[in-house]
Amino acid sequence: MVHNTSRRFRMILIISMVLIALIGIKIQPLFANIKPIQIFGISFYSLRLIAYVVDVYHGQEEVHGLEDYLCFISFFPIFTAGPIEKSEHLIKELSVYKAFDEKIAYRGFIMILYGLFFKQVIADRIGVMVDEVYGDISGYSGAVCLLIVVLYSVQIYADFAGYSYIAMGMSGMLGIDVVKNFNRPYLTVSIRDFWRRWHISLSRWLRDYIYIPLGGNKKGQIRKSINIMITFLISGLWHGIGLNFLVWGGLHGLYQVVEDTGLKLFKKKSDSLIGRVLHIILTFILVTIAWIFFRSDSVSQATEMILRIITDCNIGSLTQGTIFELGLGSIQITGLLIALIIMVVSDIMLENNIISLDKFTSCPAVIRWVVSYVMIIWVVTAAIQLYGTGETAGFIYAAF
Amino acid sequence: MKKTIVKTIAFLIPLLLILAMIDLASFTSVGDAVLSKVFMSQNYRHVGSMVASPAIKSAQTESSHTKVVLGDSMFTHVFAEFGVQNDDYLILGTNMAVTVDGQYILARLFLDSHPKATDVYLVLLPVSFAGRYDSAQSYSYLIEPFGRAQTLSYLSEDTINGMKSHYGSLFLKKNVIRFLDGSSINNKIYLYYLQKHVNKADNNDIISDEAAYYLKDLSEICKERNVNLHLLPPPVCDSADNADRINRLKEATKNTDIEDLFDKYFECISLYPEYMFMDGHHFKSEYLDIQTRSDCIDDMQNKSGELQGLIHKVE
Repeated sequence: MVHNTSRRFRMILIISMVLIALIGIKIQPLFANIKPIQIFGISFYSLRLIAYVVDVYHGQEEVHGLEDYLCFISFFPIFTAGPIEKSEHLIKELSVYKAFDEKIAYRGFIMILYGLFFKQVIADRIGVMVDEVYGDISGYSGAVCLLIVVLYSVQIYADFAGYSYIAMGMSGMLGIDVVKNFNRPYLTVSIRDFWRRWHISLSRWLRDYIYIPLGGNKKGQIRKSINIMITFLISGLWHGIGLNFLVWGGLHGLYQVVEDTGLKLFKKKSDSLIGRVLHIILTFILVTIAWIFFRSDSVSQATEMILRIITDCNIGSLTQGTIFELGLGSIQITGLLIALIIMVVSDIMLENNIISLDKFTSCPAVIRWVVSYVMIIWVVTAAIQLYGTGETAGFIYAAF
Repeated sequence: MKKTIVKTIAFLIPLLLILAMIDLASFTSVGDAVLSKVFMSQNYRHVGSMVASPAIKSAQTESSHTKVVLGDSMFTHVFAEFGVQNDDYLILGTNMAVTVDGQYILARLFLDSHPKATDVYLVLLPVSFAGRYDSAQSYSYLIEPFGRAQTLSYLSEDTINGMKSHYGSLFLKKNVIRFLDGSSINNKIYLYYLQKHVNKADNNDIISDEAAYYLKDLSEICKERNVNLHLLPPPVCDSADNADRINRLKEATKNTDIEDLFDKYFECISLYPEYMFMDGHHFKSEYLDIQTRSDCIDDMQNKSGELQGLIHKVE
């Protein structure tokens, strides 16, 4: 009994220390007179650390030596923005010797290339337009604002998925598998489904270390709804200390509660293609509305954006050349459109198992090489395009 | 493993060849017209050379001119579009980023190729004395054009050594400069790298050590050759910043070897209302009309008693 109390006390003490450090770093922007300290990836390895301590406490994870533990916490491909790996899996991967395998290394290379394509060709270019409009919302029509909020949904996906592909690719080249963090989340038919496929490792962490300890779904519908709300509000605050992040988390919580309480519109899963497409579109719209709060600097900016879309949505204004005044030229916009088509088509094909990484790596070398050359040149071109414009950005999630 | 290395090399060779071909294409006018749009590098090919190279060429070319007027971008703004049909004066307007170092080279080139020279005029804004070879944009406006023309050797050994240690001696070599300057893609990558990581974004100097040194040196060279050196200001914006800068410039040049040169400079300063300027140094486009600029030149001539008969006004 005494032994258990001592273990429990140590677990709480360690978690408290981690949380104090994490919250301390997060709340710095609230104090104008403090020069903020930036600690790379703290949000991510804090969660890994908490998971490890809790798992050890519950006996679900053995106590590892300092060397293994430090390797797990500081594993460089996933250090800054995840995936939030569990120690059990990663330490096992790290401790097994694997000889160099050309095929595995090539898979990793392709994943890195695919990730760079997402980041440089799609996310960063969209970012130029998004930043332009968010910097002066009142200067743009509601239709342009609508286009921009939709594009931001694509940007954050391409940015974060791009990072995750690069992380997986780098790990893969070293022969180490890390968990998948994305599984084509915008092809989902419900918010619940979305969170199973968006930032998968964070969703699992929140489920295992917040939602289930709160009681999960075992204490009735009302308590379940409260638990969902608490989990998503914490998720919002983890992304940033700001009312806008809280609203973003709250909206996702609310969506799930509504889904759970049986609104047919969400719950009934249509088997027909049209029904499925409608569900996908509806889910995308709901997620996009929430992203407005996520991207905005404040709730008032998000409100301004929404009001602009509602009150001044003349779609005709999109044909007046405004799109070409958002920081990208016609060549860059054409390139972006082609890249978006490639992303959507490849996501649909991957979703339906028409193509896969394994199938690609089995193609004749000529095809693989040509595709690789095109991708590399495209990525290099996109990087040079934005180099020097002050618009090249880090990964969005690396800032959390 | 050996097989993998061979495959990797085999994969990389065509890739590098393709990238090299793209880069080489950007050196041609046709290639650059297309590629600069694709790479969003339209404003990077010959960026500084376009401003300074014609001035270098004119200064080097023997002619009947006996007086040269060198100046920064504000000087160029004011004197641009006036028909110069004057066999005495050679007008060579460049840019502030050329720095006093570049103006010094131009003056030396003119003096060397014009043995009958009688006057050298330097028309510079107060802010132009602050520039150094490591200031923002100085690589493109000073090193690239003057390096291509192989005229950097006019500068002192200290300056050259400073440039070498700042940029690396490789980047002062003519062929490397041509490789950068001749391609908008290469220039974009290198200039942005300098801007971001190497060059000073802001310069708190009032007059750089180099500017003071080269003004003094030019003054001595002119004396040796019986040439008159004049330091004059173009129209200056009547702002608090400029007032402060002028006062600090007075302090900085007081009791120095170049004090005499600056005495007349300060006497000739004409301040113009702030609303006429777009950035505190250059006129807004609506004040770049012939009449305003003609009035500015009259004012310069009246205050300094110099530059008489310099321009023939365009009707």
